Amino acid sequence: MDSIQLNQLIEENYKKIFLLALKMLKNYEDAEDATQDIFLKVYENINSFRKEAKFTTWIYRIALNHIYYMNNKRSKEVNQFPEAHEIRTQMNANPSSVLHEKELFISLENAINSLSPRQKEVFVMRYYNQLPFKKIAQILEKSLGTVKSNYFFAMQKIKNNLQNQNLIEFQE
Amino acid sequence: MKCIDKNILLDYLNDELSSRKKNRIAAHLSECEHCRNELKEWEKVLSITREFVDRNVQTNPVPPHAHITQRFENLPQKQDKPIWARSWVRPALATVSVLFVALMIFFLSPRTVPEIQENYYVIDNVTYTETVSLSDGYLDNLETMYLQEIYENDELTHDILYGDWQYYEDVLDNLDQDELQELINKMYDNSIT
Repeated sequence: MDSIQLNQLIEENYKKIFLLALKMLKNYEDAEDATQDIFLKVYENINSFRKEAKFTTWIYRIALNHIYYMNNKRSKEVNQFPEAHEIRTQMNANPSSVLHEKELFISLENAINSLSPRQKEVFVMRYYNQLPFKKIAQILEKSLGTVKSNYFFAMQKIKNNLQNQNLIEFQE
Repeated sequence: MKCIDKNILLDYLNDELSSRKKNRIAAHLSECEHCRNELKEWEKVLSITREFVDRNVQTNPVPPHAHITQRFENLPQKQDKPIWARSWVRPALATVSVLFVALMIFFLSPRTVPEIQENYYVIDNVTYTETVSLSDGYLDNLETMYLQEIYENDELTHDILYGDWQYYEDVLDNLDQDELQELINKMYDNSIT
């Protein structure tokens, strides 16, 4: 792999890894630092990257390891609870729909934050990184069934949250 | 068919099912209102989630990372190893040289191969077949044998004496004059007794 190909891969993956870190760490600055550290790790270990493993799988594994390491470190630091990531959303012009949309998105944000780490990593990789389930299973070294059931429980939680707050009407 | 499991419905919406399963579910959906409603609910949840994620992605710009990519640009180019330094070359060379040495030992070692004898002859009578080597001693024996045979066989003797003996020419050619004479004398003696 030459440096041009490598750069292309990094360019493609930087945003995805950043989004993964952002959702897992719930803080923009932490995510920024984490992504930088992750890619420095990739840089340092690029020689040990085995060609038979897919480059993206390898990067995601490094990223998740680092994110969990950061999460652990942060949770040990006293009095530093991460605040929920503030949604920076451009609102629509219509005031009533704006209100509704804001409520909806806050509820979604809360639901996502309430997911267990396993459910959350699958959810983020599926929606933010747009990875197929098979790829997620490869990265996490789990079976497709486990990944899908994590995803299902995550979605169920999100659905329940929306339903409980009557944010979307469902016909009975 | 009973109602569809929720996780199967999600698989259906995510296009994760085989076409056969998809058709079966579509068929069920066309006749079950409960499942149709369930599907609509999930569709709504998924589309809202997708919309949320899209907004979220748009509004969270990727932090600048040019300094990272620059590092990778300066990464020393990994050059291909020369052919003799590749991992598979040494074992391959060792195997080939061992085979070569073994073959050379096999071909060059002095062997006790029996000399090929050219003079083989197949005796193929009606009654028996025998492959014999025509060594000098055997040829001598054969001559004696033929003489003996001719001598003992009345019919042969008759052939030789009365003309029909071209088949035995070869045998007779190999006899010198004295032997031939002796043979003829003996035959005459025989025919007389």
